[in-house]
Amino acid sequence: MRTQALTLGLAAILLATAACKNQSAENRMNAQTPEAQKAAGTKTIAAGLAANGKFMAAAKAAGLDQTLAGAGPYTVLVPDDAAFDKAPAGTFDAKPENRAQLTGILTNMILSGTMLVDDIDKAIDRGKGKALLASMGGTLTATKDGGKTVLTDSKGNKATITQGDEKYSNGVVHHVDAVLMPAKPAAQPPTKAGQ
Amino acid sequence: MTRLFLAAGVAALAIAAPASAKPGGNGGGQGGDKNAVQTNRGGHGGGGSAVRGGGGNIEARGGGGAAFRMQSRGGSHGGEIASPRMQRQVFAIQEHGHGGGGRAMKIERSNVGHANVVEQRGRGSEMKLQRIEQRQVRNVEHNQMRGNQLARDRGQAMGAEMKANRIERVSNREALRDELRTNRIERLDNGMFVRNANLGTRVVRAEDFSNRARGYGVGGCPPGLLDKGCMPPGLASKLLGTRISDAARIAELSSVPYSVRYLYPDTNDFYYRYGDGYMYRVDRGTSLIDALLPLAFGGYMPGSYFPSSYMNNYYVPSSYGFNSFYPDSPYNCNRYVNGVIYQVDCVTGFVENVIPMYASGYGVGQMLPTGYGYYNVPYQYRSMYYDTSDYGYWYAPGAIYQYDPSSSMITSVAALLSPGFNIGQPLPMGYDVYNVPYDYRATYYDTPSAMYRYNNGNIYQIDPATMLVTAIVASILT
Repeated sequence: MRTQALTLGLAAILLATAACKNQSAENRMNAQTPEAQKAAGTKTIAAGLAANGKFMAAAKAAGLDQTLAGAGPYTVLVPDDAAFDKAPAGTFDAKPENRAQLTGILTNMILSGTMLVDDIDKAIDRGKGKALLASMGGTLTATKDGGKTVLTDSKGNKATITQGDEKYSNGVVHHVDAVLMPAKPAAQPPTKAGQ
Repeated sequence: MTRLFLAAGVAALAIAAPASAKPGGNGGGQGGDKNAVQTNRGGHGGGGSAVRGGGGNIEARGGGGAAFRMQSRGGSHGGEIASPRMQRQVFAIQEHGHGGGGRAMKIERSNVGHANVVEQRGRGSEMKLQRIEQRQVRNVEHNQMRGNQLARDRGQAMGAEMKANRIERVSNREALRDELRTNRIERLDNGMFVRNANLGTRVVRAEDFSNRARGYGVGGCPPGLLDKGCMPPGLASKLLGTRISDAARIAELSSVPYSVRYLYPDTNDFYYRYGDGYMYRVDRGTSLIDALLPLAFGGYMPGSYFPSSYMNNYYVPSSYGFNSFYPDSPYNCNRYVNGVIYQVDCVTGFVENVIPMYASGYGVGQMLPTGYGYYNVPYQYRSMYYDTSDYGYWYAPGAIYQYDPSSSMITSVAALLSPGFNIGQPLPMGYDVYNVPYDYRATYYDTPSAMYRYNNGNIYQIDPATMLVTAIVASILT
């Protein structure tokens, strides 16, 4: 009888511990300091984008969901789900061994600061039809095509802004119709110090 | 009167008998008459106790009741001295033995014509003897139990003593080994100091080599793997296809920490274990390691030699400010190949650390570079990203990483950072577009005399004529 009581007690403690650990793990997954949450405002890019959309799924797999819930500000180019489907098979696979590639692709579509479509268009005009945008994963070129703003990656892939200026507390989102790929890491290193 | 004398004589004999009985005297006299049989039975009391109790003295006194007869018949055996407890037991037996002695007195009486009485009393005595014998058997059994207990106690004491001796021997051996090892380390240290004196100011290097001498090096791990858990890449790759139980004997494997388990989720087909800088995927069906994911990154792993031809050419680029964040020192040479910074020992050519750049895909689930385990988040972000017991933050050009302190694995990217601006530098390529946050646009907007750009928490002023960064006009995070 006493043994049974002891066993039951032990099991209860183990269950409680496991529950705490799981809860702790969940908290850690969304861990963000209160100050960072406050700076991000009430509706962040991470909160505003469809949670079940392919972009947010990929962002979560790459650990960038917290980035988009952070203070920012960022300008995020979000390909629609159809654009994800057009990408080569396995490009956005959330498997651990694919995470590095996924991270590189997503960061290529995140830019520092807040750039509205009008800002990009003005820069294109100033630049005589072309403007360069530094993303977190490389450099994009902005042009105008038939009244629409088009972004081109280093590989020549083009993406048109289909719906722009979706504003959030920590930045702005422009929906695009294609995935922009990052440049392959430089195979040829610089040959002189400091270059 | 005669009776009185006889009684006194018998009493005297009875009193003297135990003293005159030889130690170990066996009460077992040989004889075919009834008395002899009876005496023998009385002697059995003593004999029984001798056999079971193991005390020779008991044997002597057990037959004490009939001792005088034993003496006369010459039946005796040597005995040994028993313990005091045994002696107490002996007294009880002796009393039973006296029963036999009383019977002997009655035999004497039969000699003076009281045969009938003696016979009747003899029968009663026989029954009494049986009772006595039973009591003796009980006592002897009790005595044996006590004896066994004593033996056990003694055995335990001896066991404890032997164990203590063994521990002492082991301690002495370990002390000797420690002493030898200390001497060896001292010799090596001395050697290093001599070398240090020859090399001038290379104190830090000397300490580093000294540490390597303590148990690492020959037959162990390459120096660069000291901080990474001592698993050469070649050995790690050989674990592919081995059973997880076999691999666990070679690599120090553990379960994936809860905080990063979502990055390496278990499925019905496989689960993960990590250790020594690698994540091992294990097939549930076969328990074989079917995939090996390096948590560190790059073509040259810590501990391997960096090609000397690369040392003279593959410098860290100035773009993104990498070269100022990873400056060379007289002892550390930083080189950049394919999106990865390699920290190389300038003298030995060993890769000591591998730091992938975020732009090349470095991120969550991978390990924090070992050389940068300290808090280094840029000042303007410190109020938002500070270390807690659950997670820490680490900055490298491109991002502020959140990591799990227990495993040093990156759990998320807290913030993406673009390369910072320095006052007086030309505006880098890619900042053609106005990007100031909403709340500051009313104050900082482009004019023919000034442009404004946002970067890493600050708003910078740019001179449109020269395109040089002229000032930080606002810090929006502090």
